Amino acid sequence: MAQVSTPTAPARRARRSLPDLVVDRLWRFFCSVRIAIWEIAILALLVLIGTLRGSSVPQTVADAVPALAPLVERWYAWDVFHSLPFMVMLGLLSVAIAIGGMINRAPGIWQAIAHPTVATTHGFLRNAEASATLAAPAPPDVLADRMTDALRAAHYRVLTEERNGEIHLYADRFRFAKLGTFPFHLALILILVGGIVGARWGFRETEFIVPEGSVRGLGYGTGLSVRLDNFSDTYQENGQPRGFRSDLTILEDGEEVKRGVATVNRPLTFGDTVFYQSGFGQAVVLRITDARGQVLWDDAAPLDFVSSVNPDAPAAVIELPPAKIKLHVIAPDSNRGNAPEQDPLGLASGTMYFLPRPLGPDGPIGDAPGVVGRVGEVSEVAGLNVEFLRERRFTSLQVGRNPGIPIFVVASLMLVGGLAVTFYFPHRRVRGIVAAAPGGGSAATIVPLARRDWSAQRAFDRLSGEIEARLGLPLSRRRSPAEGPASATSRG
Amino acid sequence: MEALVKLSFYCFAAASIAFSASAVSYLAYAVGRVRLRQTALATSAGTTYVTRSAALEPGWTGAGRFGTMLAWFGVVFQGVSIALRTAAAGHLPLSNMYEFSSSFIFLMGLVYLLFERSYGVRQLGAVVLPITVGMIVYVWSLPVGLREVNALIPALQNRPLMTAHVSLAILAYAAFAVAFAAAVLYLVAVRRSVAWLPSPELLDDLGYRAVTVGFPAMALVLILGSVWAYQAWGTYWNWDPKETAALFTWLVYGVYLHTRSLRGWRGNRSAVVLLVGFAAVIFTYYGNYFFGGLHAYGGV
Amino acid sequence: MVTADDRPISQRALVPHVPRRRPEPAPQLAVGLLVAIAILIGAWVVTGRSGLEEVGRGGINRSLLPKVGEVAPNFATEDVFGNPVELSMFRGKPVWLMFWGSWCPPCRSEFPDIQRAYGQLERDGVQLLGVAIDESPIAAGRYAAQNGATFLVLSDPDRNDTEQSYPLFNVPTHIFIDADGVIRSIVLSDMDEAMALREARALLTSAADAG
Repeated sequence: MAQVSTPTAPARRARRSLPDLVVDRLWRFFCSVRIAIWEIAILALLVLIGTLRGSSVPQTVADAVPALAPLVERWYAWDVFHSLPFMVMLGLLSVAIAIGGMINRAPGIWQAIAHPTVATTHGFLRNAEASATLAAPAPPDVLADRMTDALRAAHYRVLTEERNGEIHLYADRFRFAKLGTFPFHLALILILVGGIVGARWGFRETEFIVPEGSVRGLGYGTGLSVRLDNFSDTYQENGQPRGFRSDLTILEDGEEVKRGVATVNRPLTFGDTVFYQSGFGQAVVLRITDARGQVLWDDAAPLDFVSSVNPDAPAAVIELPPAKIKLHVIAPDSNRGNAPEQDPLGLASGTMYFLPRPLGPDGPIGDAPGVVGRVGEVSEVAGLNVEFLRERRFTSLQVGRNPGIPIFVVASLMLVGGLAVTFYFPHRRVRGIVAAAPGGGSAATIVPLARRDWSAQRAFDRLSGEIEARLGLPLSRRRSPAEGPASATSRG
Repeated sequence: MEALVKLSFYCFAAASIAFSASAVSYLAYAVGRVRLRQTALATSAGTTYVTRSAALEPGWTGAGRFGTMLAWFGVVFQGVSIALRTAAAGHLPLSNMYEFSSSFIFLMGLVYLLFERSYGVRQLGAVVLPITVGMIVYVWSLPVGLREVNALIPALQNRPLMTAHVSLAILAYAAFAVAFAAAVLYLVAVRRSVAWLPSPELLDDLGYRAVTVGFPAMALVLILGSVWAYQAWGTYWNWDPKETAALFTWLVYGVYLHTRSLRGWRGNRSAVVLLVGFAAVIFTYYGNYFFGGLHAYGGV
Repeated sequence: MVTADDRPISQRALVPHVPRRRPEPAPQLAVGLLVAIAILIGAWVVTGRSGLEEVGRGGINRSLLPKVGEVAPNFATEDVFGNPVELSMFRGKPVWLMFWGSWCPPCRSEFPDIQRAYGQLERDGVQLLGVAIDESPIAAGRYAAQNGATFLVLSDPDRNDTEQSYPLFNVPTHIFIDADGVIRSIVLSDMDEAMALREARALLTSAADAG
């Protein structure tokens, strides 16, 4: 038995040292199913709060009960899934799973598998909810042997023990399925471990933007950079999107190492870094020189912002540190349904609005006026020559490296495997006594260990039927009115 | 192609009729009849007393058999409907709420009938089939445009994973619906002495069996869902409302199983957990309506 | 007194389960058949009233653009200067028919690539017709001129002239038509220069094969 968890006698406890007591308390805390259920309930509540944060529910609450508005503000502000309480609860639950679900149960389970108790009592057999009795003219040891053969034929393991001239018998099937609980519970912990490993040793870039024809460095110490050769979005005839595709070239320390395609369900992998197609947009290609003809910018800039005066007008921000200028570029309104007053800039196709702003505290310009530039032309903006070369597209990729994935895969297999073994190969157990009958010959009584388990009792019915058929001896079944299910009647 | 979609829709209509008739039959069978009995008693004095008594009696056995037959018709028609639509679309009908619910109706009918067969418990149909009919009504109320076959949108373009992930979800929901029905009947059976209901123990066990089908299926749904999310979006868990609701559902059934095996819960308490679990299933099913999120390509 | 409701479960469990006491005979085959037929007739009535007529024509079955292999339907419209132009005028030449609009960002992104590709294809005798839709001929003409377009820019501001034969749901749409007026390929996305050259040159090789 599990010595650690079995409460020691009160007399002894008094003599135990404080650390012992603390360990004992903690151990029991983590073994308690009731506490584990509370932990799950609190986690579920936190998850609910965290999930609803992203929905319209908090706003609805705030609208309905204005008094709760400050609380709703804090709700929006609280990133539950990265908060301390959430982590603490996950940690507590993991430890509870490890200790209560696994370590504490291990000795008992191993005992039941390797060294089950064979001896039983007549009282136990009498009180069982179902039983089957078999009488034979042969002496007890012969009947016991034949019973053993019959049970083995039904794929049961049989252990016998002689006591007071009677033969006690224990038989079970699928005993190793009891171990299924360990991979299952270990898997739950491994999934958390996988998440931690991924977060600690991997990285995730959720918005890695590369315009067509441009190269962008990935960072995160990878030494990788990516060039977008082409982006295209394809549609069905009815306008439904069909696919989003980025043709990428991956460079390692400036050397081309891989070319490939990333689409929505087929990411591009290089080594252990994975590139996912995530979004797209427009970009503008500019060449900016200062008054002395020095090139400050010769690249595409993604229009991944929107104008502050018109949210339907995409915009880019280009920082030009040598000139201490931050250039805002605003594209024409992309929503043709907008009324003229919604589009104050009123830009025509083929133009961009350039708005220079100071970069840093000592920028050379104040709020200089904006300039409308036309494609193919050079505009003078705050002393810079801005040439609007053409428009292009950009792709937005998610890039990630997650060393936790193999752990996660192993955990998933263990989880499903453990569950399947536990549910579909239930541990079936039978106890019995073979004894000499008063009138000569012998009688064997077997009972299932299936308290309040109707399926197990059904399995026992089948088993006793098999034994009856195999031994060719009359078998009488009894069902205790106290516990028996009504299977016989309802099965017809 | 057009003919296939039409025929599929026609078969769905036939299945709708069959399932509805089946639900009525099962109800007639399980709820029983109220029989008013008039007894004339002759007294020794030559007068007669007429006593009236009302009693609940077992339902009409024939209706039960009829219900089973109609449910099988429904499953067959719905199966044909799904097969035709698969042929027309080139993928299993799982990509919008019309298709998903059609598949759900089919699997719920089938899973129920298999349980009915192995347990010989027909009364369950009086709970499961009305749920199926509710689902059918919902499908008929969906916008007509969803009846059309469309190409898969980019996010769904992963046929093996979509098929496995979504059909396992449907299987799990169907099994949980059966468990729910068993729990409802259990709660009735222990409170009312309705002799022709199956024994509470059997219902309790049946509910457990259904959960042993649904729980691993749901675990696979979560796992395959994260594998898919990882392939499509680069994160295997997004705390998206639907996936969170699915996790919550799974945890509720986890609580059900643990309280049974570790604390020996049976009967009432277990049945209540099953009711909570099914409420979570419904919440998960319609989760994308309430909260949007990444699963909001149901088409409505 | 113990009433029925007070009895413990296990006792009540022993009460026979009435409806399943005996194995039941299956419903008669004939009854089953009749019921099935009744259901099928019922479904006919129900679906007849709820739009069986329309079902199946939408979605992927909806017929929109002419198909590859068919003769491209003719249309008559005007160029940005108001001169009448018909598709059939170019029969005998491979035609690259592009629907676009300067209001459409992907069209603007691909415009320089399209023009560069056309610069090479023009010598091979490919005719590019750029039909600007949903905008005024002035806006389309100005944008094309700014970008140095050398191809023929047509304008169908309200889609009155082309929508009948070419119902579009997205621009840019590129349709490649060979010298015999047969559609060889349709591209429902923007293109870069290389792709445009590849698609258009396929028209030349097929023309050479036929000739």
